[in-house]
Amino acid sequence: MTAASIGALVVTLTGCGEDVREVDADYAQICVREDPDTGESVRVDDDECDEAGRPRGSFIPMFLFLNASRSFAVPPVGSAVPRSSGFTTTRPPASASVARGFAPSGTSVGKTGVSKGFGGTKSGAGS
Amino acid sequence: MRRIDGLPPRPGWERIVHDEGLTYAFTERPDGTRFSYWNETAAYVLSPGEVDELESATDELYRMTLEAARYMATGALGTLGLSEAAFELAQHSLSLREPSIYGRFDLAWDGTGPAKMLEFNGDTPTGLVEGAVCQWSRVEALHPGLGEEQGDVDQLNGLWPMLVQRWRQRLPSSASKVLHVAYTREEETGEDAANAAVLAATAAEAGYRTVLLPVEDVRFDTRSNHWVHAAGDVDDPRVVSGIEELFALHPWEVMVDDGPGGFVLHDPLLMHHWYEPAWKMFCSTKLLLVALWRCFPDHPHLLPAYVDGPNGLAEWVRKPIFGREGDGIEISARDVHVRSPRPHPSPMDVWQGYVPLRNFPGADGAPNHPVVGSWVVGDDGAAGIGIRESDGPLTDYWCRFVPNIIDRKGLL
Repeated sequence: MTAASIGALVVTLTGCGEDVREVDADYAQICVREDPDTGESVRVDDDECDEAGRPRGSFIPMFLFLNASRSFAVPPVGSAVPRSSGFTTTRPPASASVARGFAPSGTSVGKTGVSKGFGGTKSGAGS
Repeated sequence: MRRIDGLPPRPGWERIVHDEGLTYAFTERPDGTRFSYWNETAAYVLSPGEVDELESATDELYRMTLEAARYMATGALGTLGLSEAAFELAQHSLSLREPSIYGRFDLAWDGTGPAKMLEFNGDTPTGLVEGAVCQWSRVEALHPGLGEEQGDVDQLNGLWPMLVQRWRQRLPSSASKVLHVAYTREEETGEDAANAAVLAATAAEAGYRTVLLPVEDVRFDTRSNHWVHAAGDVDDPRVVSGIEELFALHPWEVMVDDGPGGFVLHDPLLMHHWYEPAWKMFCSTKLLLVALWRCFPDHPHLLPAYVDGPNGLAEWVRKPIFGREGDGIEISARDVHVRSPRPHPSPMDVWQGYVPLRNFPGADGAPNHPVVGSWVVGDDGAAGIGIRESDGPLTDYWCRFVPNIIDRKGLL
């Protein structure tokens, strides 16, 4: 697993009122702490976690697999990381590159590469 | 304008129109009966005076449409159901006067009185195969030498040569001389692909090297910051080539809301050579009808149109602003109450004054209500017509295409 710093962020898109961070990496990493009352994973500062992606005390890294076809939401520090976010505690393979250092205020992240194409419509596009 | 019926069909005409590209001539109705979109045995006959009238009306309407687009760009009708970013993209495109290729007015006209504009299909007009190719070959088979200067008959149809000429005008500004023409592979009848093929063929005749591709394979490569033709799985794409110049037979209002639309909105300069240009978002919405009525109230070729209800119209047609092929339309008139069975998820509707489509019954007494599709190409204006007729007042998926003939000497 190779680490990529926030310096690897290469493109910022502004579309539909949303900033999308394009990263040249296979995974995005954030750090969370489990809330003992609710059991929810709450995002904390990256510095609380081990850079190598190992848990440190009650602080646990979470990973998100990226692809260029869509963007994913990275929640702000202090907010819960919903199960639907795509973040898991499963460590990526050693060969994968990982980006970290996302804005504490939250952002959207997508992978550098070839996007998906425009979607189709069965009824056609003509008029 | 007259409708003639009982023309002798060409032997093997079904194969002929299929080979010309009308692969979607036959469809199945919901009750299982076979339905032909192509009418081989009828034609609408026009006099030279009627041709002049239609061409004059079309040119006038196109001039007014461009003016109405500038009015819409001021924000007088809000952001037209688009996101602010998409609206700004359309504004930007119009300010650059980005070149367009073609469009089609749908007119209510029976040969008497001024033609009334029903709508303008400015972004993704189809009907090119039957309009540019099939109707010409059909009438040429009836009248060899069709279109010759001294001939008795002609056809109101300059679509193919004018499209070639339009691409020829665009060619000098093309760096690569390669035009990608995209259609959605999801459209099952083949109509979109066939229309895209006509655009590609006319561009090829003008000197472009053309590539037909599914719009699903038009993707953005964030590494090269470039649009690319890429096939294969989204997680393992295979880049075929870069895309410099693209005609996308795909609605702008859909593209800007789609996944790759973020890349479009991010840097409009990356798709400067996209056809139709983004300002056609002003022309593919039914809000254009409202803008035209505000800019040119009581114009003889227009029908009153409002955005917030019938506004006192006794007889009206409610149209979803992004509706296509009659979807979502409702007609409320004295003798007509029709609602399309297919809804359309547009964010708002337009109410337009109702005008009846005259009935030209066939020899068997069956009703035929024609709508005249009048083409414009580039800046050259009127480019011919294609007539579709329906059983009722709504031109929908079950309409039929009927060729036109100009009777120069009153012989027909």
